[in-house]
Amino acid sequence: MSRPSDPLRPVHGLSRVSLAAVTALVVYGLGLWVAQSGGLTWTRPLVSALILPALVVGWRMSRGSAEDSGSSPRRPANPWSTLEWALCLGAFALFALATQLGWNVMSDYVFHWGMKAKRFALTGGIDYEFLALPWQIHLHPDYPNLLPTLYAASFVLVGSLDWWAAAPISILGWGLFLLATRALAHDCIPAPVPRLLAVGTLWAGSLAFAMQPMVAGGADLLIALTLVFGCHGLILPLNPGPERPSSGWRRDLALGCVAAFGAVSKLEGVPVAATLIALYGLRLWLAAGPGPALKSVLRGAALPLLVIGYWLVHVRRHELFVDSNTGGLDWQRLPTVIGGLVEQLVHPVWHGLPLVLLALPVLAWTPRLRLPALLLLVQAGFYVYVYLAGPVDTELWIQTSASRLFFHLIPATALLVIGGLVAEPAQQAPPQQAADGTGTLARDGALQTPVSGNTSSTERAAFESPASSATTERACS
Amino acid sequence: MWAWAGGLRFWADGLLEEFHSELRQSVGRRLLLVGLGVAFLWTGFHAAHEALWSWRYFKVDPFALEAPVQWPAVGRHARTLAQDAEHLQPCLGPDRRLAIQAPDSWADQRFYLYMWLVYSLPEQVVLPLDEPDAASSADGFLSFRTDGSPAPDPPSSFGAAECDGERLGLALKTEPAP
Repeated sequence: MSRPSDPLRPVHGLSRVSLAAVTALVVYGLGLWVAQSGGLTWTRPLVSALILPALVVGWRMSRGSAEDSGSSPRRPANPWSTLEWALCLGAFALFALATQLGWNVMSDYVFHWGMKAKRFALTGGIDYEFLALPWQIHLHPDYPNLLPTLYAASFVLVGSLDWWAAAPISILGWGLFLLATRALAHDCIPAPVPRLLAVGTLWAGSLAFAMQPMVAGGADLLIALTLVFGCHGLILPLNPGPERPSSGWRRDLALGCVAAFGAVSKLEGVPVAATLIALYGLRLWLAAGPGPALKSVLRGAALPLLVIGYWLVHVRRHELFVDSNTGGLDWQRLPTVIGGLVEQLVHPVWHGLPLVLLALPVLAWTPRLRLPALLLLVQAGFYVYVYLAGPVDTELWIQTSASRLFFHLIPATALLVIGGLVAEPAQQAPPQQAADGTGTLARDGALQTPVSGNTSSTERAAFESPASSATTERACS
Repeated sequence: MWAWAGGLRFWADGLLEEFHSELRQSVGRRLLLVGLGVAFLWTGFHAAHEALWSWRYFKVDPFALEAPVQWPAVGRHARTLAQDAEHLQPCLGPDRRLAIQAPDSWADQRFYLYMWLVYSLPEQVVLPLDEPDAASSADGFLSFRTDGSPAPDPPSSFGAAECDGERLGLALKTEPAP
């Protein structure tokens, strides 16, 4: 049996199925918006015809996931992985049952996402005039529209406006979330026993939360998924190794798809996308200098900029930004915000899991987890900023939203924290392997340009030490 | 059958081998494992509890009015409103403008009932009555009270309407809206 710390065992990489599905959803939404801009109404033939092209594009664009390399050796089956799959299927089945039957549909589906989706399905496109009505601020008219677009497409496809027609979208999101967290756990926690307990704890805790009307029907799951993907992408070695040749532009594109998915899912996804691309660029800059980093960032940012641009143009054109989303920082709200957040950390809806967020600053202190920890910290800071700036009843706002915002951060944080705790001492690669890794680094599309700037090769090697000997070591261990 | 049993035993041996290798790790690592095990049992218990609770109670409106944000879509109030809206649909037809007395606070529980009604009438444009021209530009007027206080009278330009022989608090404009 292969021990988990087997130095030749390659990294797992992003879950390609999940990444492909996420990309396909973005492409599908974009296709519907472009069709609407071209004067087409969302009819059943149109929403049906776009499904297959979106899936094909999603599958091809997701080749940057490290799982996709034909020459990589398959890992031997581990009996603990069987238990992992059993837990995964159990968590999926319970959520799917409850969601399809409508037991756990959140109120935001009714008051926001579903209401928009019904209207879009009836009008055959995004009804900006409806959103622009002055009393529709409860609908968050300025939010990106991927989720209601998907719901509306589902309504049109099956010919019903009932919840059962929208439920499969939430169930799909939950399935993708389980796969993405499993992939992150495999790259963070090498030993199978702690990994099983870690994903089991995360899935059970998330399921306990999601069985309440907190997740199904809303977009928070999508942001959590984006952050899991983003953190995973930031800890993966830039060069997966000679047996996993992966060109840089595919990796750029994969992260770009993740960022775009976050950006069109919910307003909170826009800072996730921006921070993710910025941190990715920073990492490449430190590893390979400004030129390749800039090229990669431009490639990665293309899709997010496209979807954000589309959204911004329409929001500004129809004046959809609402005053309650903006406001100056009011430090007098700070005690209320801190008190409210502390209260929500131990709120019974989460059974204690949010306490793991307190470890985020420690994660940022750990060199190899610094970038994903920064991504999570920036996002957490953004939420605190929003609470400090929003001109509404802060206490009520925190009570009704903080536990869902915690859901964005908890999955990635929990796995990174456990990964950091169970990390094994890094194993040194044989010199030949390290040399091979470096050689492939030079072959990597994004890193071919000779390094310039102040970053010395020693610093780069130190920064990329897990990458240059990537086949030898876990990303988090 | 023996092949199955052999496979199962091989699988169980693999599980035990990994587990024993974990037990041979440092004390700190073993303590961490115990902690993770406790966390898994804790969250697993709550997941099972939430699932069973949903199974048992989802049909009987488990949430009180004072916790409106936690209403599931199958709640009693929600179902009642959805049924009322369903009755109203034939009288209204598509793309009519319907004035409703809207609550003025997000914290007001009526807000959520109001939202339920809007959600249940997707083919109509719903106007809250605190908009200055709502009454004049609306085709219909829906009395909407949940707190026991008397429903507001419709403006004089509206006449009481019946849907399927039922009075549902709906008044329709006697003249078409401009």
